[in-house]
Amino acid sequence: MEKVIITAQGDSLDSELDPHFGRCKFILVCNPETKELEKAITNVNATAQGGAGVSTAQTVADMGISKIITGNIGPKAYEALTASGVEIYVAEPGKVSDALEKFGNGELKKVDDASAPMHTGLGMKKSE
Amino acid sequence: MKKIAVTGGKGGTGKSTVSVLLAKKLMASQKVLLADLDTECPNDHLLTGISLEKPIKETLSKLPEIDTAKCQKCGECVKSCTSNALFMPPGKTPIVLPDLCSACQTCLDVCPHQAITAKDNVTGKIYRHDFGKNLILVTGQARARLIETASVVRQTKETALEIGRKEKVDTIIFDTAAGTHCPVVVAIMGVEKAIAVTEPTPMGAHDLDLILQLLEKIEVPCDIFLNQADLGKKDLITDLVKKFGKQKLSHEIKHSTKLAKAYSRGDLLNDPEVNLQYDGKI
Repeated sequence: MEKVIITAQGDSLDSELDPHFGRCKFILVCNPETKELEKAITNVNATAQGGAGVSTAQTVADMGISKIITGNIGPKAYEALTASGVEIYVAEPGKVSDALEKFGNGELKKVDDASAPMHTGLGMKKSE
Repeated sequence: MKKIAVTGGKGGTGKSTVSVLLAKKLMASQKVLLADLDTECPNDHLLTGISLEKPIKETLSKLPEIDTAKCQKCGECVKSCTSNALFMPPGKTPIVLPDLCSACQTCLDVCPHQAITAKDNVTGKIYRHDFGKNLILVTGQARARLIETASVVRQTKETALEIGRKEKVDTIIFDTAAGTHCPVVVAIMGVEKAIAVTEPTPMGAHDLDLILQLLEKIEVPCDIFLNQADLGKKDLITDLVKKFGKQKLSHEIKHSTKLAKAYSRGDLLNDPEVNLQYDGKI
């Protein structure tokens, strides 16, 4: 089964899902079949001045993995990921292992639009 | 032509209020140009009760355009872009995200295949309003959503300087944005003096510290104006002022309901009872 990337606040399956895409702390590469963590990458864009979403999208696109699970996705990252043919799935706050489980069961929603306004990762609240 | 920057680090400390009141004070005896270089949210026009109508000029930035026929999809441009304004979908020609582009043109230089050219793109507008013979307001306004606004500041400043020379202005006041980032640095560079406006709060002190470090680095002498001086914790600011080798604050502005009301009505220029009480040399 194809690998999936999950944005996380820590480097293990027990970590919380990171709701931010561009400024997530870790990028976890997981195998949805065996439910195993294959690789944890520290996201260097977490503290980027601007364009964190685009830069993280570049990291994901360069890895050649075409499915990601995150909390919110901004408009620029959305544009970049969809241009790369990456499918985006959103999960509710919770553990990475839970999100992986739900993804495996086909319970996660695939997004077809940016779910967060610009600059959500810069300490701004998502507008309701 | 004397050049002064009004800055301070923190937002909402009274930079625009001081700028407008300083212009008001000086225009009694000389010709003044006030340039609003807070291009992401200019408000000197609001404080002076006018609206921005017809722009005199547009600001332009050269944004990259990639020729798909020449592009070899090597990704060098993406790697060189510190603003993250270029993105390369796997195996495809990179795409440009104009809101993030600072127009530095590094990508043009690094492209090994000369596939990138620069194309003019409107990034903002410049407005002018004359208040009688002795005050000209020049306002720069960046396009909504633009992130890299330093070039809008630079072009507004150049336009203001040009108008200042042509109109034989005695003093030009640059009202800067909050912060210590590029749009602020661009606004301050080349002035004879800066006025740092702050407030007696921990955040006022924190951001004043940053702007004073910046001013030291770029060797611009400064005066420090403390707004709302009779509220909050004045020690926070006076201790900091000493750390930077100054004897005392240059000026203190006390809390004034009268001033706040004139401010909210856009009446700072017209209200005869609202004035800058500063007697020092400008």
